[in-house]
Amino acid sequence: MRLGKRGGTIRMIESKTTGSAVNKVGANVVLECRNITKNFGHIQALKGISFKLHEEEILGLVGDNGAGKSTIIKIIRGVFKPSSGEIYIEGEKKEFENPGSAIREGIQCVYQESAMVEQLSVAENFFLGREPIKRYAKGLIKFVDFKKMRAEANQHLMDVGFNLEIEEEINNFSGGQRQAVAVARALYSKPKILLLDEPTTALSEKAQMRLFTLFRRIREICPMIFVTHDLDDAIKLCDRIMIIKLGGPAFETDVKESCKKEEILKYM
Amino acid sequence: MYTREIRKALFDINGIVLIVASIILIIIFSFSNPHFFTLNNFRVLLESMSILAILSIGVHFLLVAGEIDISFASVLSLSAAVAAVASPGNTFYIILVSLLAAAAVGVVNGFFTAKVGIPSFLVTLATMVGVQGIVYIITDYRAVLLSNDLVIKIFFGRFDVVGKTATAVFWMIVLLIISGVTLSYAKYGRWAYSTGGNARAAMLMGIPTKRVKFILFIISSLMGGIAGLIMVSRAHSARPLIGDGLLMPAIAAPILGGALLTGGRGSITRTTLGCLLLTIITNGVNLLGFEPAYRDIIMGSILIGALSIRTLQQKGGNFLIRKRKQNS
Repeated sequence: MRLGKRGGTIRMIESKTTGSAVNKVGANVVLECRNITKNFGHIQALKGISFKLHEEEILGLVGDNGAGKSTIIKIIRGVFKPSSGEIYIEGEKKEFENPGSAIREGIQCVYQESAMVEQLSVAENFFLGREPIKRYAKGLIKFVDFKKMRAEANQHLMDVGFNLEIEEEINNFSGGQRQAVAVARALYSKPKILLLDEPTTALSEKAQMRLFTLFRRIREICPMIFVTHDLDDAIKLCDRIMIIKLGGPAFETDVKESCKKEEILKYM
Repeated sequence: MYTREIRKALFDINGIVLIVASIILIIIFSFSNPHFFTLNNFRVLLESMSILAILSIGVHFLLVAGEIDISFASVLSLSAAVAAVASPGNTFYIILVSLLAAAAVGVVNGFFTAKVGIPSFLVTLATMVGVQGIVYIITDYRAVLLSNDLVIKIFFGRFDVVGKTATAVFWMIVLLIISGVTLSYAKYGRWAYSTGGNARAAMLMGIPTKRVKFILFIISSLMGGIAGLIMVSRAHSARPLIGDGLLMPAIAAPILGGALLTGGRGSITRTTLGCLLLTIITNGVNLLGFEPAYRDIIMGSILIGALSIRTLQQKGGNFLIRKRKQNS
């Protein structure tokens, strides 16, 4: 298995973190956003957001629709450039020109709509944008290595607990199965940070719980930022929650046994 | 390796329909006219098909990526006109300037569609009209003679192989194989499908969708350029409206073969079958002595029929997928 960035494997992690979220956050800061602002014309979508993401942590960004949480994700993901502010990854300042450059820096994302191409197979969606290449005629001819693609996609999906027909078109699968492919795809490149942009919003309760279990299993492999409008979901999954309101930070708290939902709701 | 893709395409419902329709038409035309089922006529049929198939390759690439190009017939006329005007100069120079002129139109189409964001139908409608105007200026509204024998030999020469079939058929086969293999196995080919299937998802996963589209517009125009060189070599001269009448069949062929206007689907093998079917219709109607207007009526009806079947297929398919997802 190759999922563990630091040599860990899914199976090892599973034995440590079965059940609810465990507040076991590493000390090292993996991602830091400093005073991020974003203007769309005269509209200020983000008004100076700062936060840190630590090793083995799941940070929840919670807010209503239009609060600006997805804008932050898109900035970290390289889709938008911030109007001002800085992003640091493992202490190093980074600027992303496009999603490709963010991916190269180890940032992967799972979206609400799972970012799949309906007409392609599970294996092709798994390797979307980074297809393995086989060289022929001394490297002059380069073709996609479908055999490797199928074998590796199958293996990695099994690692995250899903056994899907790898050659079938992705539009034949349910939302939960597609999100599992999206998560396995994101983990394949051993990311430093995994962004979860409302990945469970359109899913059934059962599919949602299955994905939450998966996220808990992988938190030691890579820290995550979980974006949601649902406070209950954030409390179920995250170690720390940051409430975002009207483009700015409103409240931040660790998720503990004594954590009162009503208290947090006041800030939303 | 590619045979697997060909088999898959042929045994798809669209492939079977095209094969059956072609066989039925061959039988009907063979009984209607004794000259139809002859070796000489099949040679003529393949030569006519070569220009249509090469143009359809360009259209096919763009349809797969969710875009469309309707300027290729004007590009064909431009390439033919430039080659004729540049003759009798150096052969390499004639081919180069002719293809460069074609590629330049592709650059304009690609820039305004992929970079500026104007819908490709509108951009290529504008370039279709504009380029045709340039062709009128270059040719001064007259037919211009192509006086370079080597260009004629390269693109429509007849050699003592396979019943003196013109080289255009060879170019068609080579380009069909290259484009089929590229779309099925090369990274850029797969990226074209991803871009057409879900451009946003492709972009988020790091695929340079704008660059993919830009390159495909250039490829489409280059196909128009090559078809123009074949056309001018066949006619030995370039008329300003030499590409007239090719717009509809070249777009119809990939659609008949299962390509979607919304992108993400299509097979070069089935597009080839679509070209074959349309060429059989043209050839048969001509041999039966009907006016070209009847050919256009038949082609239009076939296209409407094919699109209706496709829409019903999609509706049925979506229903089945919904049922399956509910059960899973």
